[in-house]
Parts: sequence; C-alpha cells; structure tokens
Amino acid sequence: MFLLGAMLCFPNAARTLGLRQAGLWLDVGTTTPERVDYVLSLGGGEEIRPFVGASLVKVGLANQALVLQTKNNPDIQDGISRPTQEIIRDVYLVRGTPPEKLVFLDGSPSTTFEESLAVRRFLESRKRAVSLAIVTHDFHTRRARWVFRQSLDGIPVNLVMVSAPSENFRLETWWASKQGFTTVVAEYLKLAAYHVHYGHGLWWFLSVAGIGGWLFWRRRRVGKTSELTN
Amino acid sequence: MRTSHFLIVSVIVVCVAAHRPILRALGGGLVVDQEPPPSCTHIVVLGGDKRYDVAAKLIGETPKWKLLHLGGKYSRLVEYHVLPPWEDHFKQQMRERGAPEERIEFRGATLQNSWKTVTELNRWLQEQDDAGVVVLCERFNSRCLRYQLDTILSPEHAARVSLLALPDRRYNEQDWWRSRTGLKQFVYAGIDLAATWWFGPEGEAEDVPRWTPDEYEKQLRLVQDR
Repeated sequence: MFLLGAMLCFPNAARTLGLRQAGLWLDVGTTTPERVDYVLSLGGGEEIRPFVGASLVKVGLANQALVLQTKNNPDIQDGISRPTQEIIRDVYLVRGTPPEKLVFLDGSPSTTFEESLAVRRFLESRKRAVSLAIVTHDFHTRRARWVFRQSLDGIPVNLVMVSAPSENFRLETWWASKQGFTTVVAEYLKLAAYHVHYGHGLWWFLSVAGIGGWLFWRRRRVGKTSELTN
Repeated sequence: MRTSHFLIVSVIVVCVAAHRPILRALGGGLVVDQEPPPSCTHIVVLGGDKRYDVAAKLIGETPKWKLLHLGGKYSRLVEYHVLPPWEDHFKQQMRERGAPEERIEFRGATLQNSWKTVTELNRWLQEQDDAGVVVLCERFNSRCLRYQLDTILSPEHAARVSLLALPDRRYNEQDWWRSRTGLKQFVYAGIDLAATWWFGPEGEAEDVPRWTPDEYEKQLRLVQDR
C-alpha cells in the first residue's frame, strides 16, 4: 500500500519502478499494419475502433470488414441505444466502405472470448489461409491477442493486432489520470481473470501457492528441529 | 495452536460462513439512495437502468417538476451523424414516454466527465435560489456521485440535491456476485470510487490531442508510399 502510494505521489520514481512499462506491455498492436484479407473491429469502443477499421478498408489495407452481431444489453432492448452492429455498420458506410465489403457474422457475443468463437466459426468455412486484422484499444490488444490465439488454435490464420488509441490518456503515463488508472487496473484484473477462466492461470496460481506453502512448512520444521537440538 | 493461527483460521471461517452478508454489505456500501429533497423542482437523468421510464413516471406524477438536461460528451458518432445529438435523443426518448417537451430545460454544456457534470449542476444551482434536484443514476455509481457532489457543491447546495439510485434488472447489491455483469459492475464501481477519491476533479483525464480518421488515413498512405 505504501509502495503504491509512493509510486502515485512521485511520477518520476514511478517511471523507474516500471509503471510506464506496465502500461506499454499491454499494447502488442501496431497502428500501421500490413495488408490483410479481413479486418474486425471488436465491440465496446464504437467511438473509435470501427473508424480505424474503416480507414484500413478505405486505404486498401484490408479487403473486407467483418461485423459481429452482438448481444443486446438492456438499453438496446429498451430502444434507448442502437444495436452495436448497426452503429459499426453505419461507421463503415459513412467513412466510405462499399456495402459489399461488409461481412456480417452471426452469434451474440458479449465478451472478447465469445467474439473470438464467432470468428472461429467464420474462418472454419474458409478453404485457404487468411490474414485477419483485429482492431481494438491499445490497452486491450494483449488480452484480445491471447484470446484469439486460444480460440483460433488449429485454424490457418495470420493474426495482426491493430491498436486504436485511448482518447483520454496515454498508456505511457496511465497512472497520472483517473481514466488511465481505472482502465489499466481493470485491464490487468481482466487479463488475470481470463487466464484463470480460459487458460492455465488457476494451475499456475495453485502451483505457486503449493510450493510457497511447502517451503513455509519446511522452514518451520527446520526451525523447530534446531530448537530441540539446542 | 498459536493465537495468530487461531485468529487467521477464525477470520477464514467467519468469511466463509458469513460470505453472503459480507458481500451484501460491500455492495450496499456503493449505493446511496435518497428521498427527493423537499424543495425538489427538477429531475436530472445521468444514468441507470430504465432511467427514461422512471423520469417520465416522476414527471407524470408530479406536475410541477421539470426535466433538466445539463449537456453531453463530445461524440465522434454524433459528429459523423451515426447517432443523433444528445438533446435530440433525450427529447425523442421523453416524447416516446409522454413527457411534454416544454417541461425540459436544456443547458447545452459539453461535459466530458462526471466532475464537469457536477460542476455544471453547481453553476445551475447558483442561478436558482429555491430549486431542488433529484438525480437519476446507476445504482453502483451512486456513492461515487454523492462524493463528487459533496466535494464540488457547498453544503447548502448539496442538501438541495438527492440521488435516486436506479436498480438494475440484472443484479443488485443483494446478489451482485452471482452474475458476471454484477461482478464486473461491482469491481468497476469500486475501482472508480477509489480513483475518483484519489485523483479528484483535476486528475480525471489527460489532455490528449483528438484523433481523427482523416489524419490516420494520411498516416497510413504515407507508410504505404514508402
């Protein structure tokens, strides 16, 4: 707690302690990708992600854009918000993507993992290896890449992560603002939760806890034996 | 067994046996739900499940109350006409629910975050000597909003504002840990409350130059040409 307080109070010291690296570590994407067959803007950041995807199609770096049918939240069910796939579609169209370049995918994903499964179903129907650019916020690229690699295992696909910028903070100085702090902390928690839920994180945790417990027990035992000997 | 071991085991046993009341208390700690102030004249809709239905119902039940719309965030989706402007959206939602347009007051401010919203509300209260406000908000966000109100507003003005923490149909403070959405919202609200307290009104966001799709496309073309 003291260390966290010290790091937040002294930004210069914080940099040396690796906070900057902790933010940048989350970003495994590029902003200027190579040419790909498909581009997919992940849900949840409609203010910027589909705009990045549309730009890639417009300049000829992506041949077609995948648009996912997403799960409706209560606001969409009540008619307060427009369905996400409609917003994404309209962004592509308003930014000059021809309608025939849009490919709509089924499924109703509400998480990154469910989105990756919808993409897997689509790619399974392809006869040849394809390249796919996934557009998401810079801080989300590491988790998204991990999830898509897990889900697309065995599918011949070249994944390219494309980073859309965070608009209220910089990843290099995430600890200097509330928006950056909450986003990065939440992202680390989600990354851990994903590793536990969808990967081998729980086994790692149990293994480390088991070894730690065994070492602690052994140290105590050695201490007791030496007390008896003396 | 040593005293320290006994204490650790006791704490674990209590946590396991009484986890439901503990989790309920933690969820309840994020909620501030208040009665409208006696001088209430206006409703401000900031968030929450079924917020427009509740606002329309309150307006229908209390003829002297009005709706106050403080403003909205800059939105690229609005700029590119993918979504309607905030004011049009609000008018349409209220019209659909039978609330007359003449009972809506618009401030038209650009409010990039909740601190700015509270500051704008403060400005409005300073102009209105005898107005009271009930704010409709997300249930788990209400503690944070109350903290912001009490920080920005003077005690006299703060007493003229109450929060109606709207329940979410998917979870509440009694069962938030049972659903993925509830768990996520609880964690986000907890982090948000802590960060709001730590960073205060000045540390909300960094001043980052606005990203534009046209500039980005220029950058992509430059890289392609190399």
